[in-house]
Amino acid sequence: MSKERERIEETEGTIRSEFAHVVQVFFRHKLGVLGLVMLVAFVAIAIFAPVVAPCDPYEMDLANPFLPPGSPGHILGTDNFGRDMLSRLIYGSRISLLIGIVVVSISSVLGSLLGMVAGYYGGWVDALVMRLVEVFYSFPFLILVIAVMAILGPSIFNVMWVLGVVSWPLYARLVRAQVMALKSEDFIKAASALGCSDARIMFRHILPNVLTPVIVSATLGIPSAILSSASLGFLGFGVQPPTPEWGAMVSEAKDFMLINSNMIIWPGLCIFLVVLSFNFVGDALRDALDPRLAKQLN
Amino acid sequence: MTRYIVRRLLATVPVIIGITFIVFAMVSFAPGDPIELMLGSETVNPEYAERIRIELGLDRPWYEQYLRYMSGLLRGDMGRSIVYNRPVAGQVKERFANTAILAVSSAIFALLISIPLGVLAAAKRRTWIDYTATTLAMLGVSLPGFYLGLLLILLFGVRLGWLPITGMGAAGSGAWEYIKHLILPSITLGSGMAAILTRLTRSSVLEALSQDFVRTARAKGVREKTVLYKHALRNALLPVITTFGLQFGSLLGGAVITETIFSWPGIGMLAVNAVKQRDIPVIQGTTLVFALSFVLITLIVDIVYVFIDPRIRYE
Repeated sequence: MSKERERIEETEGTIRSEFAHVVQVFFRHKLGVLGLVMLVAFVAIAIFAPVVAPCDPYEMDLANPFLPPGSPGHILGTDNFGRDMLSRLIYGSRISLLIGIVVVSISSVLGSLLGMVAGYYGGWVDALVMRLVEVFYSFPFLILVIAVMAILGPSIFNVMWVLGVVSWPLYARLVRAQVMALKSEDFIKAASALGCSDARIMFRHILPNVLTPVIVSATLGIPSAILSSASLGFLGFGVQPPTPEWGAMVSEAKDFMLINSNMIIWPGLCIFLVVLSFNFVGDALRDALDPRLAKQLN
Repeated sequence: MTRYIVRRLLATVPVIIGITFIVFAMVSFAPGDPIELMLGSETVNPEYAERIRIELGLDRPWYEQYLRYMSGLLRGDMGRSIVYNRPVAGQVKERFANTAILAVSSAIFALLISIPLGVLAAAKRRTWIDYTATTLAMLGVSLPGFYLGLLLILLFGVRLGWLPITGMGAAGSGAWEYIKHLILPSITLGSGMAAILTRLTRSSVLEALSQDFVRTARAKGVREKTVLYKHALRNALLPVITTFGLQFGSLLGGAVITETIFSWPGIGMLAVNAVKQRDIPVIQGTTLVFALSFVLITLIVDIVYVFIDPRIRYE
């Protein structure tokens, strides 16, 4: 009994220390910590937008358009309709973060499932999934997204699911390679010999072992989803004005570029900072979770 | 080697069929009536709608439509633009060279920046040069292309007035004028790729420098410069070349945005206008041309690879 408990405590100990190690490596990464701090700030701003924002982001004041930064009541000035810049940016953070997270959730779950099935069953299932991956990969990403958005029509809902569905192949390829390597491991053979069902082997035994690279890729997938959705907004095919989406805001600002550059600078800067902070965190996370790769690079 | 190339060529056949099918299916399997999609949901003359439906063959079953679409493509027929009532192939052909020139000059810009910078960062590891290079690369990866383009316009076009900000210049105004129009769009489009390739070159040179053959070369007393450029760089370039090919896809996607910002009359701008006007055959045509160009680029990269890395022939 006591021996059993000792053993359990021992494994718990290694698990805890592994986690501690990951945290330690992550926090050694100065830019990763900076990114994390920035991200926490962005998330807090997004959650508490109604509290933090000084004005209603949709409220127009046609008597006061293009106010410069530092104007009374409008720290970052106003846009062409006299709407408060800062409030629009604050509400915009909700949209970008939401799109990034939803897109990556869709693509990582869909891609991992397909990749797992392809890697586990092999044969024609694998061939079919991989041909599909190849075809998807042979489209320039943004072009395919624009074409599909053109057919479905612009809306925030379409942005999320189109970006999500189109970016699954990355995760499928990643998971498939891992599953194929794991399949010949003894513990999988043992599970199979014990009569575990395919689903149980895949979800209980394989899935936890392929999760690490998926998490790293997903963290780095969020900023690219945010960039893509901002690009769509900029082209006018994504989230539509007057919704304060940052890309759409830059697009609106473009028309007044020559008389007022203030309107372009801020929303663009916000996209840049959010993407940068996710990239910092993603890089640090990769170093922490994937020591083999990190060792190669440092 | 010939066998490898033939196999590689054959492997693109199913991919091309898949691409044409997806481009075809975008319309045929899209929710809603394609005619309504093209003409807008406002009440159109039903007779006119019916005429277009028959003209486009949309009254036939989908496999018949697909075969018809494919046989058209093989004859170089990509359908007719609904808005301009002229062949899509002609419109694409007029503009293809403009996009190709923009893409190539952006790629050259990216390579000229990234490879020297990446090698330098690896060679001077953990010095200010390395930190500057990696920071620049990180900023470049995170900067949205359209934002960079607009900032460049504001700075060099509006504030300083050094460079033109729209179009390609009047015809016959000379090569220098043309190049001047190409500079800002190329920087805008190439910087993302430059950033990614800088990071990759750096890490890949670092990896090569830690290999046994480098230690052997150093032990033989080979000069450090020769070690770096002849031994390490040559091996380090292989993953860089692969990624260069893959990144060409984002470059083509970025071309859509860059062409819009700088009014560069390429297929990207054609595509954007087609989406705005719901000109479905043009959307299909431009999407197809972009995808096929990308397939061609990756094919070329894969074949070039064989010449650079002889090991691949024996696999």
